[in-house]
Parts: sequence; C-alpha cells; structure tokens
Amino acid sequence: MSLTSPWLILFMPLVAAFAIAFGLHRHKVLASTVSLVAVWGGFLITCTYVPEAFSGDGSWAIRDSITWLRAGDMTFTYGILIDGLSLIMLLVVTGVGGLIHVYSLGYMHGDPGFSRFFASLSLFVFSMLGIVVAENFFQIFIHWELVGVSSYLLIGYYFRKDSAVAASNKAFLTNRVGDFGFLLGILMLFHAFGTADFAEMAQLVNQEGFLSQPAMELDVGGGHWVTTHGTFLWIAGALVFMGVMGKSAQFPLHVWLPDAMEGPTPVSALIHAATMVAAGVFLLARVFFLYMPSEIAMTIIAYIGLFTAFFAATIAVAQYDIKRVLAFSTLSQLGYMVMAIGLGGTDVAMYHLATHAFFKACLFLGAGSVIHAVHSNDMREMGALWRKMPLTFWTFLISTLALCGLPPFSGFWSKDGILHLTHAADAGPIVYWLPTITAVLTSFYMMRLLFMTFLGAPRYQGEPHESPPTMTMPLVVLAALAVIAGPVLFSQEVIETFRTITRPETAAPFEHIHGDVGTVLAAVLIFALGAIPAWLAFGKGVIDPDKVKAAMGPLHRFLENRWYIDEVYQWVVDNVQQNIARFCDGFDRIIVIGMLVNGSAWTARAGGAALARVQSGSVRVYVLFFLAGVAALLALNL
Amino acid sequence: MDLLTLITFSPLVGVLAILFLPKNSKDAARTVAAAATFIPLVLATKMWMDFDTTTAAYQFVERVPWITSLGVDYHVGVDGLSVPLVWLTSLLLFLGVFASWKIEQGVKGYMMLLLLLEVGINGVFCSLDFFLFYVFWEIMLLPMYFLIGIWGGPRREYAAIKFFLYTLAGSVLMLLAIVGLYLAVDGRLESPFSIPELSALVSSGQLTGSNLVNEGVLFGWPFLKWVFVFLFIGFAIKVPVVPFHTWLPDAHVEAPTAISVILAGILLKLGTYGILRINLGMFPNVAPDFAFIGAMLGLIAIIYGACVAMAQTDFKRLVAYSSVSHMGYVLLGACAFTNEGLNGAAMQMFTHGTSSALLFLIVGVAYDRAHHREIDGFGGLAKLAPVYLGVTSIGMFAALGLPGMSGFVSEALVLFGAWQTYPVMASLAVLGIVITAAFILWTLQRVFLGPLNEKYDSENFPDVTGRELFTMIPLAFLCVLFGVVPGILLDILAPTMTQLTAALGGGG
Repeated sequence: MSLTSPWLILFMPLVAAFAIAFGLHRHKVLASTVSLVAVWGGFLITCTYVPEAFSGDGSWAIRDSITWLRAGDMTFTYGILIDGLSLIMLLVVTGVGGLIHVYSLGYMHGDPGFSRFFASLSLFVFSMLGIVVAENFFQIFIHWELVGVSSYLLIGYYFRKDSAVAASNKAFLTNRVGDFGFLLGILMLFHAFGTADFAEMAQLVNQEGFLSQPAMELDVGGGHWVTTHGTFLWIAGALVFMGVMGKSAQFPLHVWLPDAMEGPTPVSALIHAATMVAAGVFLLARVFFLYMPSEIAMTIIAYIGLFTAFFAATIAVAQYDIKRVLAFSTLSQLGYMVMAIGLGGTDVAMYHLATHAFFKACLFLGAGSVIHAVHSNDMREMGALWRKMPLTFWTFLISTLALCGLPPFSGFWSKDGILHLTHAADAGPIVYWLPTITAVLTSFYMMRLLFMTFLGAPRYQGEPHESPPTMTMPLVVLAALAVIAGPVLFSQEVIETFRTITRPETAAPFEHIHGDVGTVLAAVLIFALGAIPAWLAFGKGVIDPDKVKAAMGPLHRFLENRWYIDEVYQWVVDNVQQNIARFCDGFDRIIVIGMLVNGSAWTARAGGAALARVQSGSVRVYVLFFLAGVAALLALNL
Repeated sequence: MDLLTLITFSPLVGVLAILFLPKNSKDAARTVAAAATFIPLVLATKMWMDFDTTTAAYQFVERVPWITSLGVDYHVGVDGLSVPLVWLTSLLLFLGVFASWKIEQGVKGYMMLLLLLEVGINGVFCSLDFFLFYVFWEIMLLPMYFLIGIWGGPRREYAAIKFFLYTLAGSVLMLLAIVGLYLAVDGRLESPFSIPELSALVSSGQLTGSNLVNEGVLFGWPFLKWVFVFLFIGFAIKVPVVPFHTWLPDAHVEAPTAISVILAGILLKLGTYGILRINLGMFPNVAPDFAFIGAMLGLIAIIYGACVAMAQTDFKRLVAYSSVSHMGYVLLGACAFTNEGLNGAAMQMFTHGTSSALLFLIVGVAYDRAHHREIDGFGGLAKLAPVYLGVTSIGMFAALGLPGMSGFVSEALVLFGAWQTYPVMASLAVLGIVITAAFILWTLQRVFLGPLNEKYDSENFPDVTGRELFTMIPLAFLCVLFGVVPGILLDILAPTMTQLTAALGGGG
C-alpha cells in the first residue's frame, strides 16, 4: 500500500476512532491528535490527486475493490471509486471536516467527554467518506446507516439531557423511515439490473432498448401486469430518493435537522452543514443516470427540493434561536441543490454544495463562537457583539453575504447557477419565481440574524470576549474560502472544469455561469429586497418588529411553530403508532394467550397435577433415571 | 469414539462427576460444569477448523447399528448447516455456566441439568437418523422444564408447564409423523429412519403412503402433505411462529438468565433447523405447496413481534418479542427457496443466536442489580456503568441490524432472497427494520440515557464485573466479526445451501 493509497483516506479515521475508544481515551491530547492526523492526512492524500483530475477531460478515476460477500450468485464488493465527483466531496469532507476538528479543540476544551467526542467525530468521518467513495449501492447503504449511527452518537453527545437524547432518536428514526424506501429501492434495482455496481448499472441504462424491456411480470387478481425497466426504474428511483429526503432533510422528512442542533456546535457545522446532509445531494449526483431517463422522477425531485427551499426559508424568518435559523437556512439551501438536480444541473448542485459547505460551516462555527461567549442560543439575548468579537463578526458577515448570494462572494456564483437553471427550465411560473422569492427571504432572515446578533443594542449578560485562536483560525480560513471559491481564485476556466468533472457524461450540456452586468444587478436587487426591510426593522429600528408580529398574528405563529408539522408527527406517534403497539400487545395477551392457551392449559391442569407428583421435586432422581436409560440403550446396542 | 460422539456426550462425564460430589460443594460443581462444557467447545472448534467447505456432503459421519429390530442406527454427521450451530451450542453452554455462577440453591442439580441439556441439543444437531433425532429432542425437553420450573422467577411453575405442554404437543405431532413415515417406508430401506436415505426416497417420489391409505390420499390431502404439516407445526412451535409463540415470553421472563440465553440463542434455532433439515431437506417436492404460507407466517412474525415488543414495559419480555420478530426472517428467507434467502436464513439463525444471547445477558446484569426489569424503572445508567453501556450498545445495534454487525448481513440476504420470490412480502418485511429500530432506541434511551434515576448510585448499581464481561465479550465480538467478515460463516454454509436450493428447484 503506497502512502497515497485511497484506502488510507477511508480507514485512517476508523483506526483513529478505535484507537481512542480502546486505549487513548485517557490521554486527551493524544486522542485529539490522532483524530486530527487521520482527517488531515486524508485531505493531503486527496490533494495529491487534484492536479491530475483537473487536467483531464473528466474521465479521470481511481478504482480498487475487494469481494466482501458472496452468497449464491450474488456478489457484493467493497471498494473505492474516486472520480471528479467524489474528489470534490472528499475535499469538502476532509477539508471542512478538518477545520471543524481544529475548532473543536477549542470549543470542547475542558469538556469531560473530550476524547469520546473525537472518537465519535472520527467514526463519523469514516462513515461519511465511505459514502463518498462507494462504488455500489450496497456499500453506500452500509455507510448511509453508519452515518446515521455516528450522527446519533454526536447529536446525543450530551446524553444526560433528555432533549438531546430525544433529538438523537428523532434523527435516527426519521432517517430509518427514509432508509426504508432506500432499501426497497435497492432491492428493486438489484432485481432489475442483477448488480448493484454503479458503473455496470449506468452501462445497462444507456444500453439501447434496455428501458423498454420487461423487468417483472405480476399476476394480480386475474390481471397480468408487465412492468418495463423504465417504469421499474422511476419507482425504484423515487424510493431511493426517500433515503435522500431523510439524509438531506427534505420535506417531509426534514423534522430531525432543527432538533439535531442539540448536539455541540461543531457537530452542527460538520454534519448539518457540510457533510451528512450533503450526502443525499451527492447520492443523487452519483446515480443521476437512474433519474435522467425518467421525467416523473425528475419532476418529483425538483418539486420536493423547490418546496423545501421555500418552506424552510419562511420558517427561518420567525425563529429566535440562532442555530435554528441556520438549521432552517440549511434546509432551504439543500432544497436548492436537490431542485437543481431535478432540473438536470448536477454540476451546479455540486458547486453550490461546495460553496455552501464553506460559508455555512463558517456561520455555524461563528454562531458557536457567539454562544460560547454569551452562553445563550437566543438572539434576543445578544446584540452589539461586533466590537467584542471582531474576528467572529467579520467572518460571519462575509459568510452571510455569501449565503445571500451577493457578488463577488462564492454564493453568488453557485446560487446564480441554480437560479439561472430555474429561469431556463420553462416549467411554469412556480419554478420560475419561487426560487427567486426564496432568495429574497434568505437575504431577509440572514440580515435579521446579523443585525440581532452583532449590531443594535447589547442585550447580553456578562462580559463576552473573542474566542481562542483554535476557534477563530478555522473561521478565517472558511470565510476566506467563501470569498475566493468564486472566480477570484478559480478562473472561469477552473469553474468550468469543476463542472465538467462533476457531471455525468451523458447529462445535457450546461449553460455557462453568467457574470455579466444584468446578473450582478439582479443579484444585488434580490439582496436589497431582503436586506433593507431587515435593516429597517432590526438595524435602524424604524419598524417595530413586535408590531409587525402582532399584525401578522396567526401567520407568524404558524411560521414560528414550523407549520405545525412536528405536532402532526407527534400526534401520529402518540395516537396511531402507540395504539397499534398497544392493540397488538392486548391482542397477544387476551386473544392468543387467553383463549387458545389457557383453554388448553385448563384441560391439561389435571395432567399437570399428576406430573407434579411424578417430579417429586428431585432432580437427582431424574438424572439417575436418565443415566439408567442411557445405560440400558447402550446395553441394547451391545 | 469419534469427534461428534465426543462433542455430544462429553458433558455426561461432568454429570457423573457432579453426581458423586459431596453435598453443598457448590464451587466444585461449578468448576466441573465449566470444565465439562469447555471440552465440547474445544472439540467443536476443531470440527469447524477441520470441516471441508468445498462439499455439501455430511462429514465426520459415524454409523453404528443401534436398535436392530427397528433398523435404527446411531448415525451422526454434520454439514454446513449444523456445524455453526453445534459450535454455537458449545459456546453458549460454556458461557451459560459462568452466567449461572451466582445460582446458590441446588447448584449440583442445576449444573447437571445444564450438562444434560447440552447433550440433547448437540445430539439433535448431529443426528442423521430421525429416530435418534427424536430421542435427543426429548432428552432436551425435561432439563429445560426443570431448569425453568425450579430455578425460575415467581411464576415459574406456570411458565414451565406452559413450555412443557407446548413442546410436548409439538413432540407428539413429530412422533406421529415419524411413525407414519416408518410405516410408509414399509421395509424398503434397511435403515428406515436414516435422514439422507429417507430424503432420497421421498424426493424420488417413491414414498407416497399408498400402502397405508387408499392411493396415498387421506381426508383429501396426499399422505406426505399431512406428514409435512405435522412436522412443520412441531417445529414451528419451537421457533416459535406466531400464533404458537405465547409460551416464549413467559418462559423467558421466568427463566434464570443463563437459561434465557440458551433458550433464545439455541433452542429456538432447533425449530428452524428442523424446518430446514427435515421439512425442506426431506420433502422438497411437498415444500413448494407451503412456501407461500411459510413466508407469510415469517412476515407476520416479523411485523407482529416487533409491534408487540414496542408495547412492552418489561425489559426481558421486550427482548423475547424481538426474538419472535427476528426468527421471522429465518422463516421468510427459508421459504423463498432462493440461494440468498436460504443463506440468509441459515446465517440469521447464527447471528440471532449471538445477539439475542447477548441481550439476555444484558438484561440479567440489570436484573441482578436492580431486582426488577421495568424499563421505565431505570434511567441514566450510562453515568454509573459506562462499560455496561458499551457492551449493551453492541448488542442493541446488532439487534437493530446496523451494518458492520452480523444481523445486518443476514437480514439483508433474507430480504434480497425473498424479494426475488415474494416482492410484496419482502417489501413489507422491510417495515420491520423501522419498527425494530424504534423500540430498541427507545429502550436504550429509557434505560441508559437522560438524567440518572435517583434510586441508583455506584453502590447499588456498580459497573459490570469481570465475570459478567467474560460472558458478554465473546458474543459481542462475534456480533462484530461476522458483520465485518461475513465470509467466515457464509463459506461454510454455502455448499449446503446451494444443494438445498437446487433440491427445492429454486433459482438465484
């Protein structure tokens, strides 16, 4: 194995996790060092691939695999597939992930579970990298679930708090609901293709006539149904998309993400901004060949993404918890990415995924820095922090502007790519306007957050001060990336290469990202439409937000309570699921046990009484009888 | 004497030794039992090592005429299906002795029964003669009855009688079927009970029972169908398949920890072993008529068992119902008649054997300290017992089918195999993994996480002891090992399962 082996990228974090769990946990410094080395080592190895990957025509790839499981004719491999698409993800996961590791050194300093935190973090990185380099559906599902369990450990890190435990359960179970569909989809795809390997599947899909061949014949109720591969694929694809909706928190499986903010803030930055939630988007890009031939599947994806983007933005407007605003903003941005894929733009989706990872991780870490200083999540207990925490403020400001899509920050380029896609889609006024309206809302809630937290009058308790360098350094790096991940660093050419290598070969040719005057003006206008009301209400104080809130009455409550979706789910769990369980239990006790068993038990009671006399309570006698029997049988034989 | 005979009967040496120990020599009895269960474990390990995985033929075969007047042979041998189960039996009985270390009342009798139980179980797995199979099956029954009825909890007598009656009913059906087969063979075989020879005769279509009943039809059904159903019900009670399952929660709740471990880990597998070895292996031409019903029963067990488990407040009852659910996968996979399904079923028998045994040990640890099993009566134990939490997490995550744990591989194989034959049923079975995750995480939450229940402190709830760890670590290790390297197990199963699939005419 050479020093730049892709297997090292994947397995170093796993080794680190085990080393910490079974030995190093007593030595905090050593534990965190091992964890950091594992993730940064992966980043460095990944970097060695970059020149080659970016210089080619997009066909660059590394593959290696072992046979993991063989049963009957079924063989599953476990392998490594690194092409342009997974290379970008690797860079994001190890790079942004690595910065978050550094930040955690400061943030978690002095926490009694310091070593456990880093062990979980390394386990998470291993799980996530497995998704990125997976070469088949089975492997990706394995890591999909492992990401689920490692995020369970991280979200429930403060396991003595009931709310943290509830949140970790909610995350795991909501994801399992999505994975129910995912697994079904995989079962169907395996049936149709006879393989789970991405490359082989893609080849089959693109084969002439494959889609019109029959995939399954069913005889139901006298009718004879023949399903073609085409039909089969969109159903399976939609089921796989359920898994994506779970991990990438798309409506209606989004409910776990805001609650998951119960985890330590670095966790929110790592898994809920940069990596785990991006897994779904990545998966869609990875298996785009499944969706491309099916208009129905693409439409479902586009509309789910579109709705999530809008819906989450409306909720973010009315939240007071700084991390929750960011959580709903994440939902909204993920909605953009998913929608972009539904509209055929895997390349812009991946571009937005990367830039979003930079500025959203920076925002979460900045929020963590603020929370660290004022010991509260509530923006009503902050304000005027910019003088006290200048580094946090400036990096936060940059990332906010990037998220709002203001030129020349990176978010402008990636979001413009998506908005351009919606305008060119020719799919009706909703697809045309709603993403743009959502962008205005984005500017509003982000500027509201900025004003409430850093400007205006101080409302905090105590004496907040700037965070230590381990925490501010990652902020600076991420903010810098948020600026230069646009064409400042990357020339237009590099961006186009980026898009080439993240796009499946067969996808439609893409529109170039526009940096012309019209687009810039439009972006500024969108920003201003959201930012000015936010400034008037929360910066300048011309408009009293409380009056607006009162005037909006029910609408505000509706948004503040997140469209009451959690309440609906809770009702279902309390009433439907609990009652089914209770009914089954009652059925078991009364019907099955009562009638069938005690009836027969009653008749047998007489026999039982007789038996009791024979037993005479002496095991010794029984054993002697038994041995005598054995001896007799042996004698018979001889 | 050859290997299998030694494995089966070596615990008897322990029985004899304990019998002649002076009264009240508790530690001596325990030590002898540990030694007497260690011998079969070593031998079974050797058997696994020496087993030739390239063939589906029975190995380590011994055959001596026994009851010549009936043509009964002492005929033993193992194939890929039985080797892992014999090994698991030997392991769990060995660990079971240590899990019983704290039993103070009637130690000698308890240990002797435990050793007899091992003789019976390994005897069943090794038997290649149906008569011998039945004899061992019955040998197993009584020790179990006494172990629950004498050393059990408050309602032990009720539970023991219920266990006894159910199992007896199953035995009676099996006996009827064996007698029927014997009569139908009508002297055409020199050894009319030989499982391989009977199988060959039945599959060749020459055994119809037409010598017994008119044209081999009895009450509108072919004779063999009746035999098949009698045997199936006999085994289904042991699995247990819903609706024959109600003896199981009661038996588990009342049984001492080690007995629950053996019950869940091994005894349930005897039922599915019988279904695979006898129902499918011996009657491949009848089995397809019942495949749909069998798969349906498997599906019902998966969903129903999980739903009932969700409503339980007693920790041990919850684990017992989760066993019902998990054993459903075995039935579903087996009845799909595909290579993946059968491999998955056979693997699930082993993986559930390790994970459920681990879970019952875990429940035992909590019960020994708190003297109750109410899930809501715990809370926040993670603080007091971090090592205990660690082991429990492995057991729980193995049970919920987390990848990297053995249960995932076997359940996935079952689902892949079943989907090819029964897509709708397999799809519904996937629901089981969601429900299972729910009740397992809620249990973990209510017992270990959240604020600490004030009733407990480090005095009355210390972390696991060395002895407890010694019983749990091997099982936890196996849960992970076969999840990461499933090939170790699948390689040994594969030839046998491929042969069985071919006999059943299934594809895949």
